[in-house]
Amino acid sequence: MEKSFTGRERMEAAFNGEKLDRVPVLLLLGGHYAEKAGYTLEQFLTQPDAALQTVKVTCEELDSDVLFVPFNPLMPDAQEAFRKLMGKPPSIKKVDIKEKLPKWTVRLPREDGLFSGHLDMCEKCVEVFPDYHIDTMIGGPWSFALELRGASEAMEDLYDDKQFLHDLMNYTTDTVIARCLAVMELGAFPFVGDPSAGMSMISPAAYREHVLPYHQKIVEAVHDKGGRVAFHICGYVDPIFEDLIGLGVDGLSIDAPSSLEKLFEVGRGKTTIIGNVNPILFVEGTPDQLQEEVKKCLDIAQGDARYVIGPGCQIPLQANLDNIRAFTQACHNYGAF
Amino acid sequence: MEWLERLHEAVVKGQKKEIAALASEAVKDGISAPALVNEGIIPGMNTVSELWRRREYFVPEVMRSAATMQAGMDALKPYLVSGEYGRGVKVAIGTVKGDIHDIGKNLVAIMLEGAGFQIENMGVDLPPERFLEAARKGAKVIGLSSLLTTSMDGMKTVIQLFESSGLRDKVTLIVGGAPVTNDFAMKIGADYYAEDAAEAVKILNNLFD
Repeated sequence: MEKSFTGRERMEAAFNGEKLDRVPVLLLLGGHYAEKAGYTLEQFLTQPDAALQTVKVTCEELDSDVLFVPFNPLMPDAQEAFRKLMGKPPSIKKVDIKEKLPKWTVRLPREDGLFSGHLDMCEKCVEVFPDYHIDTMIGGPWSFALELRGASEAMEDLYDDKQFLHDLMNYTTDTVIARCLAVMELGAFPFVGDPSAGMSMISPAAYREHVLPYHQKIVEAVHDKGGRVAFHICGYVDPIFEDLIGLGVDGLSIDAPSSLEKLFEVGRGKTTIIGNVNPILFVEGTPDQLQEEVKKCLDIAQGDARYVIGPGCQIPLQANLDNIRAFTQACHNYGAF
Repeated sequence: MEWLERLHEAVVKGQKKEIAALASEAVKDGISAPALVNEGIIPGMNTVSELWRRREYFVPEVMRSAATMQAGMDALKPYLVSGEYGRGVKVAIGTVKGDIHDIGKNLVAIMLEGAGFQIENMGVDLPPERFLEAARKGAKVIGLSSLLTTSMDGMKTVIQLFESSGLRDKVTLIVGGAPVTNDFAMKIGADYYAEDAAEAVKILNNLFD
């Protein structure tokens, strides 16, 4: 009988450049199966038991290889729910940040009330789902900086106060590193998502000056501890493909507006490429359309060992569950090596 | 360099700190304020829009240019007679409930203001009733922004509220934001979908010219 490999084994193989049975599948899901598990979305986002049960149901419904740890205050849809729960305003923008920043020290992940709960969930998922590659989304330093400063204000700083931005990035980068190392210690894989760092927001030149050195610091910190890290930047990032590959990231996840073809041209064999079916198709598309997209992605990958197929970004909560199932099935059907 | 060209260049290069002085000097030199706006500043923003379309300018550059344009317009307001500039069309714009993102929405607001529309920028995380209130106070165009897939459906709620209140035919509803598509916009009953700020200006310019 042919051995059936686990998702964990498939993902490890993809990072090592080895082929097992098929291309691994990565689904970035949230509370999509909360209702099926008997919970509301808010319960999924704010109650550890609800989150864990929802993940169990998700695993039963789908045969993905990767599980993203739920109960994550760094995911955009969770932030509002969590902050409401804590009685805090939705925005973390600090109007007096220029005065306060010099006094800030990096908060240890276990001292952060919300993130500590997420670390507990990481530990639980590693224990309860040993066959899955357990990933967790860590908010990237640039997007974090923009949240603290205010996005409009940070855009002005690019012209009027570059040094302040660098100081802020030092703080946010050290925070991100602390979080990455904390999840790694528990056996989870850090997936750094820096949505505002792409060309849908800033120029390639601004990325290289204000973000790249800090992304490099994160990769080096993770590698120094013997770990691996993947990066995801939302939107269009073609102009910085070579910069991102040059970081030495173990995995690079790209969104639908970016070109999978171009990334393979410059990055084949240099990193594990992840993506990039349009997430909106899971809402507005049909199973047949998703199947076509799966085939297109696999054609581009040409059987590369260092490829993981998945949506370009988080699958919207309004996604048709039949579409998610059809996508996963298509990946299995057509992704065999 | 001719004044019109200098103002054009100031907008394109994002010379926010210099443009007010430039505009005032130009007026003192005998150039009419409407000419400075219509032949210097606004064409500057049109150039910026083109650079954005060609992916040579990105959000910070467009925002800087938009802020520069605004500074230039503010400097020229005292010299503009009512009616010489502007369309008298009120646009109310905001981010829907559950979403606190505002950068794209702010860009649209600034660029529409530059194009002569009267803007009420209502902020973020807005309950649907807020948009209805804006229409009751005279807004002819309602702009809805959403950056999260989780808050997108809030746009549908707003449109449904306009329908049930009998005000749907009194306004133009335009939607935008990263997860929003033309298909989604049409499905929820919006009049227009704008992919970006430049597109929003183009749509409303065509509608009200």
